[in-house]
Amino acid sequence: MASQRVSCGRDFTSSPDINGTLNEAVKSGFDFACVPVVNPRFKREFFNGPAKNRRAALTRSDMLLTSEDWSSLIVGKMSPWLQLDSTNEIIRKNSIVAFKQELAFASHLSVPAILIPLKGPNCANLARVLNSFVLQGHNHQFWMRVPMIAPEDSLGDVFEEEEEEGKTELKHDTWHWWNTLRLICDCNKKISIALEVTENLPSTQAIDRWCGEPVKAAILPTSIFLTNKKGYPVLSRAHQQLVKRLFKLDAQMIIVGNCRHGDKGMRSYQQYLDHLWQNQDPPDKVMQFAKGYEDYLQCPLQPLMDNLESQTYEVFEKDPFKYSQYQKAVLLALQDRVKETNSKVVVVMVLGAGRGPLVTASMNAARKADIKIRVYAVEKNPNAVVTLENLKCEVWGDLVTVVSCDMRTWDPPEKADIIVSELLGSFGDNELSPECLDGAERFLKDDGISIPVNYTSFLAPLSSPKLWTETRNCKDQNKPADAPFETPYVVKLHNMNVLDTAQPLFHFHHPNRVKGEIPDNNRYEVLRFNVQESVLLHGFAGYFECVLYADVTLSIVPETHSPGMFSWFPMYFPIKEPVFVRSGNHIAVQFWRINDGKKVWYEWCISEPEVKPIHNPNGRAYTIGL
Amino acid sequence: MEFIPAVVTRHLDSIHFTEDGALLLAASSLTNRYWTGSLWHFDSPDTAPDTERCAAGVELNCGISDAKWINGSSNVIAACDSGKWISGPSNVIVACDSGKWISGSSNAIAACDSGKWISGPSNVIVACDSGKWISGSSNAIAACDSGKWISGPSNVIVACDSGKWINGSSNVIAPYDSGKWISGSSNVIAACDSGNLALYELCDKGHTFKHLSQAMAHDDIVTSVGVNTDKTKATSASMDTRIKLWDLEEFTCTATYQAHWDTVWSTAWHLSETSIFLSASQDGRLILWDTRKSKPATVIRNTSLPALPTCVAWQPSSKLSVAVGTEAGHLLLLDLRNLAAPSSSSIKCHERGVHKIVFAPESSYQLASVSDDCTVAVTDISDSTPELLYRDETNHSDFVHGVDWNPVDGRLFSCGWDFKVVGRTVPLLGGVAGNVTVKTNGLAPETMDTSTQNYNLTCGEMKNKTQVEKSDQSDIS
Repeated sequence: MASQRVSCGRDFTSSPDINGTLNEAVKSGFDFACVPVVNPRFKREFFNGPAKNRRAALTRSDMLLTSEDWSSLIVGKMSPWLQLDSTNEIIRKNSIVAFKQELAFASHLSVPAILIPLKGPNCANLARVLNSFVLQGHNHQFWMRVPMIAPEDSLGDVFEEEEEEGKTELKHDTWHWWNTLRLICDCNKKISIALEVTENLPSTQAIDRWCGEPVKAAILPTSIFLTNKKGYPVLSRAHQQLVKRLFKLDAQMIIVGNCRHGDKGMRSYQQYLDHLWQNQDPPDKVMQFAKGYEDYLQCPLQPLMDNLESQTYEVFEKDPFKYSQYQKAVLLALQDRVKETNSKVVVVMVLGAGRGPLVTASMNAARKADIKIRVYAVEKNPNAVVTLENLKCEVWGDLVTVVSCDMRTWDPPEKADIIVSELLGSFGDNELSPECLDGAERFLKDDGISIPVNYTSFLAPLSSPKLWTETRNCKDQNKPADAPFETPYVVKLHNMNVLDTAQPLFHFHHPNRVKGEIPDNNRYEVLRFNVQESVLLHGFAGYFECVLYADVTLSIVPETHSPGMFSWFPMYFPIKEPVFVRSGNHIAVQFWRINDGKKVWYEWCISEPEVKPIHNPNGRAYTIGL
Repeated sequence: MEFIPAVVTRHLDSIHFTEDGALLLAASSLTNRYWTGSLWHFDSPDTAPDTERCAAGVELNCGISDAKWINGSSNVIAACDSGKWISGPSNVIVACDSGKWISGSSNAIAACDSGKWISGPSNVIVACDSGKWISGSSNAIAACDSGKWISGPSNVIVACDSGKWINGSSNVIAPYDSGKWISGSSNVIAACDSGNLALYELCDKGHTFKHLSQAMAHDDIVTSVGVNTDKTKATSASMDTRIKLWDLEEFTCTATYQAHWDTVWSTAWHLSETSIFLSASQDGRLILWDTRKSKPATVIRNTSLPALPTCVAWQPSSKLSVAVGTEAGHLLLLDLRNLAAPSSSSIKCHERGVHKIVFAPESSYQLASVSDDCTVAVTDISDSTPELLYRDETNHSDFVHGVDWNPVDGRLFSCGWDFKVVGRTVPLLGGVAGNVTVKTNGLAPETMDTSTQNYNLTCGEMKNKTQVEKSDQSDIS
């Protein structure tokens, strides 16, 4: 979905001649024009009085533009005088009929998007009529035009009387207007936001919240632009940051208002936005790798139960950071081992060797440390073993012994000084590393080292209408209706808002020998999070942190993310229904890891602010096979 | 006539009369291919809206919601040497060749052709037909009936009774001794759908609209424009929620006010105070403005408006009462003397939103209103019990948006989206249709002759208000 330049349109409040308007827009470098479908002053009467018999065309003919132009260059605007939620019944009824008329005509024109103003929290009737129309299956985007700050809070300092409360507090939260409308419309994917950027910006949390919403367009009034020394329009730093964030969400830009930089023309606004677009920070390695995968739900891999394919191995072997970290860890471990035990040869076992990258890393480390090692490469996937055997033949020689066996059932000829494994999933233990390594513990010397030493899963609450609606669409006929919400997904989280810092959840360390106790990998934890702005909770993001050895770590927790490491996208644990959390309240989530001897699964439920049912009880929708 | 616009713009949105009964009509085309607008000047309102019979017309490339005359400038003069006088707006000059002189308001001028002169207060004008002239203070005017004219400083007036008239500076009025009078330049300000404010001058003796200036006023449709009582300031209100204050001499914007959070439907200037106006908005608030203050806005609270306000008009006799029309068809009178709790009594005259309200000239109680229910109504709007006096349900077949009283014959004119301009004599207090009587203080009443454009009034004190009464059948001439 990457484009080479910003998509920028112009909003016209009056359009005396539509061809002229379109030409003007195109000449000024705009990609599309937002034009009223019906003249904004053309009020209509449907119920009583002579005016209801008015014989006049609703609006100009559709023949004025080709259908190709209508469907690619024009965004239709609904009339500003419509008041579908007026307390006056007649005004409301007239508005409903007029609105339906305009929607129907816009649909007839096949414009790609329709702009509808959203002016206040009372929008239930508007939502109902819109929802009814959208469900009829029309192929447009419906952009709700919402300002970032309510006009009630943007008044000038012209009042003689002081207002009662302090001016710094915003009294009206426009996010609630949007939230009300989309909830009533059952979070329909076709209804999204055209966010009007105001001169004053709200708090960072409020901006974060907007960036978690489906913002398909951003409306920039010319009045928020400043003028640089040469007389060209520019944006303030704060606005630039916001616009760059909106670029990342693939939002289209719309310029509205008079040209306030007379001699530079409207083109100067479009050129400036394009300049901002071209000067975005280049994407880092992770973003480059993830391009196209943003918010794309993937079922987590089950390398234990299934065998991975060659292609999968190839992709992961490209990770620039992970293997250098393993090499570092092995190096330190070897050095410590020799120091402690004075061994001549260190026995290293790579458990889950795959196509051998960890074997290579270990051997590099040994060479660097000038320590002799004897390697066993254990792999249960017989197809990957083929690669290993070939490598042994051509590269490794006798230093490495290839073992085609599940580590839990292998009977080794000797015990290991160091076991190296990478059995980690995006949630740390979700590929059953604990169970596997527990099964391998028996052939680790009593004072042996495991790389990794420990790993911890992390959880953070998130708001993302996009992810939630994507989940809703993952219906599987063979599974119960709620099943999509009861399984986690691996996904590159993008159009979402993390509500609080991630907290550690389940911790595992290796070796896991507790005297006299049977190791128990079941877990139960409760986490509590704080919420600053009122939000809709859609689930949780899952991450992990891992200590390979000493201070050598791997992490996908955002605050400590390993640089350039793309091997793991975060997890997303959905919840069946979005939960509204008021600002200042807490979110409490209960999480379980359960192992019944045959499979392992997670169960989770929310207990604050509301108590909700447990997700995935008995692993009915998702399990990881042992 | 120089030019008639080709595109027929059928939706008539605004009518405004000059002092002498000339009509300004604003029209738009709100559907079909082109959404343009046009301005029309009709000498006689009965010829409107027949575009073949207009005096002047001009086409704009955007719709027009509202247009107002700016009659000359503050220095208005009307003079006639038939011995009668005609009043203009506040700064009035009266000339009379019967040898008597009558002072207008503070900036008075006295002219007399007996050769004598009498000075008024500071800004004095002296006229003499002996051929000599005597200057008064700085803003002097010299008049001479030898046919020649001598100009004074900038605000100059020249009178000549040779039958011709000669312009002095822009703010000039020339009298004419045929008994008629012609105002000099008349400017027109138009509220455009493109967000602009257009200024036109009507020249060529009223036959051509000359485009003087265009100001990029608003980011959205301009809903209405208002001119203050001494024609020095104007306001423009818009769907972009802002109100802009304009200086009419330079035609520049002197202030932009952001006090409403939704469309501002109309602003109304006070009838005598030059710096006070009221705004009505879709956000439900009425705000009183005093442009002299640094924080000019005062929200009028506790109005108990039955619905959102759409239009306002100041009551002529009182200083602080306004009539308000709502989007549901109510009319009410607010007494702003007590801002904490302005008393109000309302009446629901219309079934749909009231688009415009205008008080009858010099009348405190007769309020004309037009609505989207396609009717025109006149209501007696007084404090206690408003009463519907007159209602016209039949003449219009679509939304009625423009209304104004003809100052010459007192008829009520309305225009609407059915492309009709309807003039009517309004029978009052439920009585028989008849002429409107004007009675002045202490002197015998005279009837208005509605058949001709001119009307005769005996001289009286300028400050007295006239009262409108029902006429007897015997007075019909």
